[in-house]
Amino acid sequence: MTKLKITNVGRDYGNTPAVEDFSLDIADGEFISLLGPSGCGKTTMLRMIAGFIEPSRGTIALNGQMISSPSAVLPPEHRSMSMIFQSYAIWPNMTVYQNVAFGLELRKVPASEISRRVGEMLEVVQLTVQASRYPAELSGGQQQRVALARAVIVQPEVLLLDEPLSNLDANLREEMRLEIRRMHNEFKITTVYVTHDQAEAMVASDRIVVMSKGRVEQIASPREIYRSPATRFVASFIGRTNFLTGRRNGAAFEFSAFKIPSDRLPSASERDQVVVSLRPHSVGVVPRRASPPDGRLISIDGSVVDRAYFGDHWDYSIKLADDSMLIASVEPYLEYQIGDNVSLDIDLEHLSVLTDATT
Amino acid sequence: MKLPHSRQDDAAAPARARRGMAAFRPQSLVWLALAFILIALVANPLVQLVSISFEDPASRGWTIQNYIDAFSRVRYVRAFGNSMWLGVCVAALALAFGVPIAWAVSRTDMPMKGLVRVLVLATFATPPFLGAISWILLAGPNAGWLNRAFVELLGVQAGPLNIYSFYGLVFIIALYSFPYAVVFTTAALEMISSEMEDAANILGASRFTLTYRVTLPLALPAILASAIVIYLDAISLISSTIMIALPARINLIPLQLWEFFGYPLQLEVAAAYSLPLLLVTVGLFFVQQVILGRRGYVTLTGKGGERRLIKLGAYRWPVLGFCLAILTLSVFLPYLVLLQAALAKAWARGPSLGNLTFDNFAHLLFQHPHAAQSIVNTFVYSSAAATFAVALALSIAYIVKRKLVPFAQALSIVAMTPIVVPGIIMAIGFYAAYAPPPVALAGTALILILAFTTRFLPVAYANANAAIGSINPEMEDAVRILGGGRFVALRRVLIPLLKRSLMGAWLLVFIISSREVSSALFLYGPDTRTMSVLFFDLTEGGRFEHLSALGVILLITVLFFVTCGQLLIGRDFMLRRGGSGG
Ligand SMILES: Nc1ncnc2c1ncn2[C@@H]1O[C@H](COP(=O)(O)OP(=O)(O)OP(=O)(O)O)[C@@H](O)[C@H]1O
Ligand SMILES: [Mg+2]
Repeated sequence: MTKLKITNVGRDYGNTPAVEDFSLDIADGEFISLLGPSGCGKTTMLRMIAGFIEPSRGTIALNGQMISSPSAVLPPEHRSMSMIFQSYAIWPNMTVYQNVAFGLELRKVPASEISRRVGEMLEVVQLTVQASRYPAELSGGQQQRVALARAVIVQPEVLLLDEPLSNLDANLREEMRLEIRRMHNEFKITTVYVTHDQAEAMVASDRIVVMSKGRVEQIASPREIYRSPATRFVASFIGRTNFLTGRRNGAAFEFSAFKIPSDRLPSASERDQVVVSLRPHSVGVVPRRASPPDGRLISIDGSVVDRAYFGDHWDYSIKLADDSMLIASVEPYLEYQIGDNVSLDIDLEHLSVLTDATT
Repeated sequence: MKLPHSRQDDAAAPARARRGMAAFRPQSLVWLALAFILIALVANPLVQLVSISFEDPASRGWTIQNYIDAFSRVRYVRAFGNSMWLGVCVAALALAFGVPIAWAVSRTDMPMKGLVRVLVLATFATPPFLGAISWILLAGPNAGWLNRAFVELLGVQAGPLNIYSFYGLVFIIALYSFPYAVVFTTAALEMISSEMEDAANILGASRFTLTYRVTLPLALPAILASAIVIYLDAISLISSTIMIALPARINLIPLQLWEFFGYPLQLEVAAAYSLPLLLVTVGLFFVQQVILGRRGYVTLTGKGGERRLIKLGAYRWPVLGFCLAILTLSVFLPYLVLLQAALAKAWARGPSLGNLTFDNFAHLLFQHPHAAQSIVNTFVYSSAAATFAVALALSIAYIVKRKLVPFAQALSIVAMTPIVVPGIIMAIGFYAAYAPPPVALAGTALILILAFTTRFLPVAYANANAAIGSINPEMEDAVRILGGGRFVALRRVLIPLLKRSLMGAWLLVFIISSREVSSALFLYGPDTRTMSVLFFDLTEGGRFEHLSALGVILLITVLFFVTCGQLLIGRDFMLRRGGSGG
């Protein structure tokens, strides 16, 4: 069932669009991340969902009910949503208990039920002891959990989070990431999570929306985003990669130093030219082969021109026959010297054809 | 935990959705209301002032006769010249007092800086007319304490001091406006980092060359800006002017306006006479903005780089001596003689047990026909004005900061406009707009309250604006997304968070309203005297002992509220954005 339907939404500031043509159907209980570099329009999109900003184009519907369009916007207070802000926005004039109880009070929940539910919630986020403290007396992580509890306790239709972890140190961030996922598993709240940290998005999300300069680059599951990036931007934003350009020559694509039969790249069958992304981890480095391997693998000859040891892996820079370069990451025990002649094994399953780039 | 509630809510959501989306935006209504209030308070009086200056009082037709009347007599024109020269002298003297104090307090290791700061604040809090009355007791011809001391000590025939003179007036005004110079200069000096001075130091500049050649030039824009504020204050100051210049027969702009405003009332001529003053004020105000780099002086109070204090060595004591000497003239001596006179049967007989009495206070509080009433009035009007001004300022600042409506910025410009309008001119405008029928507010409490509100709206606005700016808008967003409207967000979060700063703004407006002279003097009626009006009533033929007692009451009130503000908001709260009365 579609909880939130976002259709062709766009938003301009002056003449520059901050978000362009954003469409997404979010299923009930789904965890969606908006991922992208700073300034790409994530906050703008999230605040449009929340109702703080009206769209310049397009519509947003909740449970089939229109809530945002350029002509009319249902104000945030009538959307039954919750949001966790980058600044947490814990109210410093209220205690932890009052902060968490506030949403229930506004919903006119009976006092006895409020105290029961707040008690339960504080237990879940391990803040029972701190209930009567003021926010100024809490650590950053505790404040973050207050924000989480305050947002979740009202059992919102949709939970919105705007980079809630960016102010925390690395350890705490890890912990909170799991906490957020755990809350999601427990309450099954439809969640839209904004971040510019790919690891955060990977761990938590059912699907990731990668954005760049206000545009949606790709919407897919974390594994798909990594394994089959749709665009050059996605491939380089999520992890590291090699870009390889090939031209059609009869029944094959000719790359700089090797060929791939065109029936092996079905998604590029119509094109004259393709750009593929090849992750360094998908390149096997073996001593120079005499004869090519069979099956899915193709083999390319090259030589090691540079290397770096990272403890858990080696990075080799390999020069191919036509002097182009490729990066390969391999297990730490596979050691080669600079100047060694090697062969590179590439599994065609791991090549992804980029849809946006032709050169 | 399960999720029974959100599922139930689904049913209600569509109905709510329709209601919410169809609803008329209440913001626009609020905007209209605020715009209307601002037009009534700020724009209309100014428009009336200008239009009435071109109006023939008899026929109500168009004329320029008022301008001819206002500027055809030598006496009237000379008042203009006198005032301009007075302003220049006052500004120069005030800088001579204030700049060294600012430098000593902010850049040197002079001892007892805390005391000096407190005394500067006390000077600032002292209503100028109280300073004037004290200095009449100190430096009045013959009987003034200082003159008597001269005779006593030097054996001369008569004391040399005469406060009833042009330079006496210059001295009095400068003595109570130099805190502006201190505030501005300190703010600028605190922006200059020691690195800039070090750069000159390495080139071989000595400590004092450095101060003259590097530090002071860097602070020059701020010093000039303070000179402009002091100048503008001086040329439109009515309180000390009435007390000193009237007996001394020196004609000045405020006195001339006061005369036009007396009997017979020549409102149209007064309006015509005041317009050049308004133009001078507006013009100089813009010059000041340009000098300050269009930033306004509030932003000057940032911190720029590291600063080290200049070691004065043996000069510490002379420098401290200079500061304390000035502050003795502005605070210690005046307060002393004021207290003595207030508690004396006859002030000239000097402090002795036989001369001690509380009759002056008793007379004022229990026998005088207007005194008790005027004290009550002062409290009521000042509280009302402070409440209106802060509420209005808060609403406007909120709408502007949150960009709730298009053209909100226009509201803020109008709210800040009274800062360029001298109090006497604002009062004449108010009189022109609201005294005659059909509004017929002449002599009512309401016209005084509205005039105070308008006059000090900029002070309230600057404070409210800064306060709201310090609060992250996400605090309110968090309320709204949980289901509370803007009003809930205001009531439950914003107002509680702003409470202290709003109380500070309220106190500030209250204090400066309680000592406001110019608008009160032009707008009061028989039953709406304030303490400062009473003060001038008593000046005419009253006794100095009663006058002093009233001064002490006023002073105690002001100092009490200033102290409240200090405790509540912190040190220097009055000095943040210039609020002066007078
Ligand atoms: N109120 C505004 N007025 C004008 N431009 C704005 C406004 N808010 C955002 N923008 C612009 O819209 C673009 C998107 O901003 P947005 O805040 O959505 O980015 P973001 O993806 O959340 O970035 P970050 O990761 O830094 O928070 C930016 O270029 C920004 O400058
Ligand atoms: Mg953002």
